[in-house]
Amino acid sequence: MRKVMLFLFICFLASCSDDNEPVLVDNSIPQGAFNVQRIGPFVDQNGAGSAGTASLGTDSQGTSFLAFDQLFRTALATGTVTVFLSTSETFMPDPANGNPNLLLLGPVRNAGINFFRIPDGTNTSKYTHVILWCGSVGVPFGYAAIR
Amino acid sequence: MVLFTLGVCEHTNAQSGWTKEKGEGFFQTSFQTFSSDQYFTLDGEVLTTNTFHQQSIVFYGEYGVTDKFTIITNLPLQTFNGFSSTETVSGLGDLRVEFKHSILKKYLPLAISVAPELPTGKANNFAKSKINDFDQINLPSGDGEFNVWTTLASSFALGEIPFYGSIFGSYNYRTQYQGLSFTDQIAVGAEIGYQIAGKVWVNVRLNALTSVDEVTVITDFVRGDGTEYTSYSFGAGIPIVKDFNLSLNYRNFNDWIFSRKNIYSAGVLSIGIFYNLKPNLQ
Repeated sequence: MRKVMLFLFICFLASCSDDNEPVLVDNSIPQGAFNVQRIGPFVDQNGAGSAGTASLGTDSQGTSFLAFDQLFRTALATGTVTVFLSTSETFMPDPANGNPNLLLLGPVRNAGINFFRIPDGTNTSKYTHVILWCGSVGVPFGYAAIR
Repeated sequence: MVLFTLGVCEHTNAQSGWTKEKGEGFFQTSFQTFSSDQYFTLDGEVLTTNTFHQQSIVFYGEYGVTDKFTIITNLPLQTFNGFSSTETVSGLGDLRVEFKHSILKKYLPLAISVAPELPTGKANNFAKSKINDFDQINLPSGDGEFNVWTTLASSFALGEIPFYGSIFGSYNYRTQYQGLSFTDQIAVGAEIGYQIAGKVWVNVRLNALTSVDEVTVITDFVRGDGTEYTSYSFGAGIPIVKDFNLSLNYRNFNDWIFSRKNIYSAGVLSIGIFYNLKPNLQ
């Protein structure tokens, strides 16, 4: 009986240890302050109603992000709108050569604030524009020149 | 109404001032096909896009309940939509049931009809991209809304000469789908027809559609909000055997009355079989 009591006591002590709760870090959004380096307003194309501002910057960890502000909107009800960094306001795909003029960041699902993490090690200096591209139809919905 | 920016599935049969005689009927099943990469924006600008294609199998029927009252139905049994960059998706379309009453029948046929359109089709139908696995586009086979067409039509026929003409005006009261309100529409049209050698009916139609309110920003472009156009068509009804006939129709779009907006524009070819029910002659 004593051994059982001792075992239960040890279990109790173990359960009361002061281990910290794991902290989940969401790597898809900036950590700490977001330092804007380049910024520009969206220009609507083809009646998609694109508006808002795109900004390129880094968070407190030095990770690069593209951010859309809370005024961001575009035609989202119909199909997927994909976000690219581009070397010009014109969408110029060249998949045979690895799309040197484009950097795919992913689809945008909602109006308002959005963040797109720039892949680690990517040099974004050559990209001067953000493009909103409706891939199924093959038309641009808008662009922002970021300066 | 499933316009999906092009009008192919819109009710394309004639609007006339006549109603069927009691017990008379007209029943048709047709196949329509369309393909275009020319999209007209809400501003009327032409964009070259990935090629959009649509095929439909449509049932259309008229039946004379009384000499002055005809019930008409139009149902896309299956509509196939896709872009060259996506898979093709399909579904049932929206059921239209039209109640047509003859106001004047003898000297100047005049009829009014009310046609509710029920959202029986797939209001959301996503086609996945062939290029990116995260990319998709909504190509519904129904627009998801309840709407009502009200039509006033008049016709004339020449006694001895097998020639007729019709004109009509329609108002489409549109509602909303998931909080997206659609602007009402006005349609007008005219048709003339002639029977060649007492056998083959041929016709020419001119139709036009405009929106009551101007739509400046695309809210949901696949449901035809802000769509405007003028269309013309050439058709023929060719007897096959007894009361069965072959129907052929070619339709295209232009800017004659209302300029094209929010629409894919190209020729629409349709072929079908129709049956004339004439109980009084049997």
